[in-house]
Amino acid sequence: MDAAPTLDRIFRAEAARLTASLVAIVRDWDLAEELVQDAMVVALETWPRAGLPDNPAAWLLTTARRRAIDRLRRDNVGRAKAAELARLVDDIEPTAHVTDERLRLLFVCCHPALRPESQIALTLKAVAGLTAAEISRALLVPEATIAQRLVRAKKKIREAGIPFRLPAADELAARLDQVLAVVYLIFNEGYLTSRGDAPQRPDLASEAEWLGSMLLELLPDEPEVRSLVALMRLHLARASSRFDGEEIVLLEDQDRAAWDRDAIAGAVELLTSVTRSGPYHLQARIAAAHATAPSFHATPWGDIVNLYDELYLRSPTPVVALNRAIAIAYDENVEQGLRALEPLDDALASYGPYHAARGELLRRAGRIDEAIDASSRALELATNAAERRLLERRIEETRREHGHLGNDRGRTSRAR
Amino acid sequence: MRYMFSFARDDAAWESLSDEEKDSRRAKVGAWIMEQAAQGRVHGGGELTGAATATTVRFERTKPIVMDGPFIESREILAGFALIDADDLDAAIALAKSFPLDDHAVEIRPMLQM
Repeated sequence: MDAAPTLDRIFRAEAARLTASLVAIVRDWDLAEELVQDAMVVALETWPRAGLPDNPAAWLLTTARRRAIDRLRRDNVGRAKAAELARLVDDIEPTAHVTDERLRLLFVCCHPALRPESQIALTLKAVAGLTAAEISRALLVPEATIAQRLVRAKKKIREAGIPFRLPAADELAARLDQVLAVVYLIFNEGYLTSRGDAPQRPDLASEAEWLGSMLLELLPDEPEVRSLVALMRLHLARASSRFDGEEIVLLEDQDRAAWDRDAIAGAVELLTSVTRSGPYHLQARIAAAHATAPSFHATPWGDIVNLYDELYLRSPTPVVALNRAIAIAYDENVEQGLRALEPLDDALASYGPYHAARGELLRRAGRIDEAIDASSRALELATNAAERRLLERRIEETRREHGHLGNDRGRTSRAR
Repeated sequence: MRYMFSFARDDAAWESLSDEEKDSRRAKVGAWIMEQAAQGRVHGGGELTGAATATTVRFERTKPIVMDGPFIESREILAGFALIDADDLDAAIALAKSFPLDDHAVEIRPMLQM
């Protein structure tokens, strides 16, 4: 039997449950991880000979707990814990309560007393089961920095007394928001990376979708959990058409036939039962409006503007206002869109996508010099090689158009 | 676990208050502390006088140098502290959130467990 890939798959899926269940007992993160590693090594030795156990998860958990007992018996401090563990080894229900422990672990990783960058690294490590090297590649942060963040976060959890339990009922909503924010940050970092040369890192986006699906399994009735999962699935459903090789393809030019219709239908279905409109629900409905439109020109821009209005009431950020302005430009006209952009000039002065959107609207309004200035500013601010190439192409096209306009002033609209 | 709660405030803003206002705020904090003490959680603490009264001793090449002022000069100064037992950080955070003066920041630090 070729056990290695099987084990790898099982281990990835079970690592978080195992770690969570051990951490809850031994209260030492590093020790818990070590025990999980040990159990995997034992499995790697045993399974190819003896065959895959009926319940690999329970087998790993039992092995890890036995190792924990051995380890704790060796030092006097651990005697009481060892006795507690010994009782638990005989009493294993691998699914029900372990599931809760995984959720608990996610809340610990996203505890507000940890720095946001540590929350992300710890979630990827402890819940998604990525190694420090994989996190380093995914986040484009040196491995030593990731390792340091993980060490500091675990030290803070241990020494500051961050508890391994679900937040109290009155704290749950706020803490869940934080967990969802971390998952969505991971997703966005993968969906359109903010640094480096690779235009997107789909692995990170699918990690986030996996984390979201796990949350959905654990909290199936939370509207914002459903909505965030739907939002991520709607984005992923059209991920393959967003790039042509290394080049960004804008929504308008994407091949809608390549979109995953089943995934879109599933996500829309997930949204239909949500009645309370939170920020993720509104964003998911906007994504659904795009994903279900038969063509770019048939996009229900009026609905999208209304959704952005509602979203802006809940989270009045300049970025939401920017997206609203773009929708207005399509729903009404370019001038209205530009007018809606004006008040954002200060707040988004150093935000590349603002200048990119403004450049595009100015170009469509025929204000060529201003369009080139805005796109050039966007190019200066772009942090991703694919975005830079897109902007360079656009500036080049605008210049060509300008030359064309010089010869034929009668033509202002572009054939597309 | 035992935590030190440090209460920081804007020194100038505090000094601009009338004596009556200061006393009414002190009374609120006193009631809050008594609530915790009633549950046997408090192990010392108190309000400090202004940063202008602080003296710092630093050692330069093992020679002690005595200077006027606190460790760090800033607008926000340490106004007081309390040693309080709480089950874990979440319990300590919940306590800190119930501190009655919203113009004070509360820093929660666990005491080193020996």
